[in-house]
Amino acid sequence: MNIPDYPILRTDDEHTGLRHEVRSFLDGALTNLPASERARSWIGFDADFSAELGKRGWLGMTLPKEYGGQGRSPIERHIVVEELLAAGAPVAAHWIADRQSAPVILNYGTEAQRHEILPRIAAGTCFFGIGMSEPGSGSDLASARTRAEKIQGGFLLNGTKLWTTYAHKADYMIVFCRTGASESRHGGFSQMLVDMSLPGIRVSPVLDIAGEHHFNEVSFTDVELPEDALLGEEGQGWAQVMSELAFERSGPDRFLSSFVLIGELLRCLEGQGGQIAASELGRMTARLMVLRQMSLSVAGRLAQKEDPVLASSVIKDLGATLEQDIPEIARRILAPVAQDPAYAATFQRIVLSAPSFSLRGGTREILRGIIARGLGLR
Amino acid sequence: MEEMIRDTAEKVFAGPDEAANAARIDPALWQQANDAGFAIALAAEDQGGLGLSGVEAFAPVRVAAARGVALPLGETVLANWLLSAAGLDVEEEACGVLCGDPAGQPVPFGRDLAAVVVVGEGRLSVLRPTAEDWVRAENMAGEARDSLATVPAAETEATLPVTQEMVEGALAMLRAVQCAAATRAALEMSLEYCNTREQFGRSLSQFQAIQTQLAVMAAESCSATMAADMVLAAFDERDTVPERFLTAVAVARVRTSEAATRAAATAHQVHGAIGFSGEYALHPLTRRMWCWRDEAGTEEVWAERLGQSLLSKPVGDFWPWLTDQDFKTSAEAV
Repeated sequence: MNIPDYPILRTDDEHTGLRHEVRSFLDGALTNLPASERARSWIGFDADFSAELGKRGWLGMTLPKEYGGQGRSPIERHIVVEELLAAGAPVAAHWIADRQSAPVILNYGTEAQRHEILPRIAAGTCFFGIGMSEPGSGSDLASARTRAEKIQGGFLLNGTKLWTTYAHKADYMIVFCRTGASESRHGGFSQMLVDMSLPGIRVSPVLDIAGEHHFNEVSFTDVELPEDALLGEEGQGWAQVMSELAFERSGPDRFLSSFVLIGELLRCLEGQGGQIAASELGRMTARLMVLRQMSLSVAGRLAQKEDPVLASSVIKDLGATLEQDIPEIARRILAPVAQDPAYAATFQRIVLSAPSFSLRGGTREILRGIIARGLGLR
Repeated sequence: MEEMIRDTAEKVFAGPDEAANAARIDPALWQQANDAGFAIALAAEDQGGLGLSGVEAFAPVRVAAARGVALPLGETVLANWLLSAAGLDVEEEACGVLCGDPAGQPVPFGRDLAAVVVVGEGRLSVLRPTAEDWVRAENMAGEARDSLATVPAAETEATLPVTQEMVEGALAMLRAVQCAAATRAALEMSLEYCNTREQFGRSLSQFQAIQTQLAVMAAESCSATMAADMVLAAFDERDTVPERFLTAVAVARVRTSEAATRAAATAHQVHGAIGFSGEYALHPLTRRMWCWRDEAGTEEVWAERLGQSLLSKPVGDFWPWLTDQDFKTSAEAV
């Protein structure tokens, strides 16, 4: 039996200073960004903004300095990320690269790959897509059929990836694919570092339920990859992709997606609220405050070089549920139709995004399976 | 230190005694707890206490709650804390704490208490009711919740060393900590049961429908434990950041009550009829969880209080306020 624990993380004055520095920058930088845009959370794309964050040393924060990073702790990164998300900053351009691609390249890449790519990620000028899901392969990632065949001087990549956020703006995609036959269900997979400018790659938009374009379908037809496109070890793709997913599941992006709506709700209430408003706000705030401390605790454990997969999965499950409840809580407090246009636009954006909160980064069902296994069930 | 205390408590509170009467204090068990110093853990050293932190002093309370033990240990810990802070001697025997008018208020194990510490109007009074003063009653868990029909004259009076709000908060904190501990114990019991009980030729834990319920219950339990840890840590910094303690009380009451409600339901669901039987060890936990969530203010009361305080802040202050609640390395424990 293994129930995760969350020791309280204590932060110091330097942490507070960093938090206020980021906050004050964002106060200025986002002045003209309306709440409905800030509600895009990490789907809002602004390459100039990402480059500005890079200049300020707020990207690639935990990467070693020799690779252009800041050599700072996961706690400091957590603080910066929290401030960005709470403010609704447009972070999509660098988001995937900074969150999961960089650590995968750092952990499994060659020296050449690290030196070539990591400094650009830290500068906020190199963007990544996630190459996991496929048309026939969603939660069941091990059924992926994209294949990289060994040829003279490299690999020949064929297949299709789906739901690839901002593939149309990405410089690279880390593609999870078959490279060999295997007896085991999780064997025979590798990860390829694919330059998106190579011939044979077609990126087609897939609109979401709000008509927004962030998803794509990406097809690879006889794409010739050089030998050094192989990321990590051939045949170890499954273990690598699982560790990549752990980075995707551990951060504050798993409970702050609806945060901008809370700000809008409080703005419209102007301090006036009856018993229902107070009670609902109190319950919601209690959940949020506890989740924040759990997430800070995980950041502290990452700083101790631990890999708290179970602890992170619990946060993601609780966090996605809270994010999805927030618009419903808001509905109980304020009738959305009667409010000013700014509130209505924000509310609509969150409602239309909410279904994805318990899908992306592993569905709720997959997450709960991971938690159950971690608890020692099965 | 906390771990050492917990180990000791696990030896003292081996488990609920089937034969024990939950309505009465078991004198032998109280003696053991007292010998271990649990009751005076939070009291100041110069008044005969151990001067431990809240985190440490409540470690045995958490163990007792997880084991379904019927003792007013947390109440006595708080009574002795208040007595010592007021410059009075600590009590050997079990005590209660009341805020406001003592008449008619339910007092855990009232009939067996040596003293009741009453807090109100800036004063702290020590009452020593006799058996005739009490009207006996029991809660859903079968624990005594007696009330004073006649309020005896105070034996001793002193100036209240802390705010009454702080005392109310500490009593609510006690229930939150107990709810979280019992929730965790109910989770462990459910995991154990589902891993061993077989139906349809396989263990319950192999059914996805069961796994999902237990995963959700575990997440709730983790959240409740975090909330309990937060309020104890905030209690230990109550003198430097009193506002944060009262916020943490509200957060803990809301979160642990919600979690206890859901966890009790799931625990009974996965245990089936066996868990509903009087001889199975689940109900000493769940019956207390259902009582504790209602005592010292339901989650509804505390949620509304927290919500009102949020509404009274300037618009735009919500996020800065949230991050201001974080725990700092520089903070000195009380």
